[in-house]
Amino acid sequence: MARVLFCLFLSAISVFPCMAETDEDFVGLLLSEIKANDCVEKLDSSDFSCITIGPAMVEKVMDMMSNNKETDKIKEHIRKILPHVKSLRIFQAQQNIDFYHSNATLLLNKNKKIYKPYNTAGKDSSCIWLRKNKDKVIEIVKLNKTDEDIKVVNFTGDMTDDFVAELLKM
Amino acid sequence: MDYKYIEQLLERYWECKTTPEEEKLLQDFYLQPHVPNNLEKYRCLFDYEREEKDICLDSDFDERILHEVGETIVEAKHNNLFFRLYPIYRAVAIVAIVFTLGMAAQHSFSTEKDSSETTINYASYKDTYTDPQVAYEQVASALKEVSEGLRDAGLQTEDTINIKK
Repeated sequence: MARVLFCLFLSAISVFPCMAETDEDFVGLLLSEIKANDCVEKLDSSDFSCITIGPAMVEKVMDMMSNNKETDKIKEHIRKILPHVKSLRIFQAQQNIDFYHSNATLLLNKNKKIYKPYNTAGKDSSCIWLRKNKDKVIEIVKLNKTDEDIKVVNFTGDMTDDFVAELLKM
Repeated sequence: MDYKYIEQLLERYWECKTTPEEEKLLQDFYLQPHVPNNLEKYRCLFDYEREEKDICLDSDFDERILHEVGETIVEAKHNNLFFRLYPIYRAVAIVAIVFTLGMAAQHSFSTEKDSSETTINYASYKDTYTDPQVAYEQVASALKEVSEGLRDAGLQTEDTINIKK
């Protein structure tokens, strides 16, 4: 009886680390989804590219900018914006555009509780989705589809109204 | 002396009709050292009964018998309140564990995630570029795209992204 209780207790404890597991950004989810579908669709991983600029590189960029005395209007705006940005990921594909686009939109709709559309108003080719944490926007996803390619721009960070105001001035 | 009464008692004794008082009389009769010859043959019976009546069990009889059998003597213990409520504690613990597991399973398998309590895992990120200048150019280009996207969506400079929406 003591052993049974001990095993039950261990099982209960082992669940909690799973609950505390952290999340992925949208591009991370998209890549996982594509990998899951890969065996079905037999896609070539060279169809798409994924650029990742993580928190460490963002810090390096900020250091570089602070050491660089040259300024112009754009750089000034970026200098004010970058402290709010933690990462940038860009997913781009020039083949099987419709497939990747449908995957992305399905994923966004599947995670409607997390990603909210921002004023897309029927624009399927280009739309912006936001992920919020209480009163802050922590992720911005811009999905853009043209005849030549599909591009997903995915920022994460601490995006307040100040961030947006500076962003709109660019 | 007339032993007719004694003989009558003996007759009743063989027929199991004697009362305890009558049996006592017969016992007392055979306590005498001399009895008639025809009644002497029954002395050993009444002597045997008298001697066997004195035999009883010793105080350590139970212990000796149990020792022979191989069983230990169990003495009753007085349990305090904790031990008496122990089965209830066990039941409560099992219910609590099952409840916790159920809640954890429900939370894990629920598709309705609450994003306000999750954080993004940056540990798995692998930077594409090693040169900050190249990274800066990508960041600038991406920020400009998002800025255009927000303007296309109707967001003006004076507006906020309406975070509370």
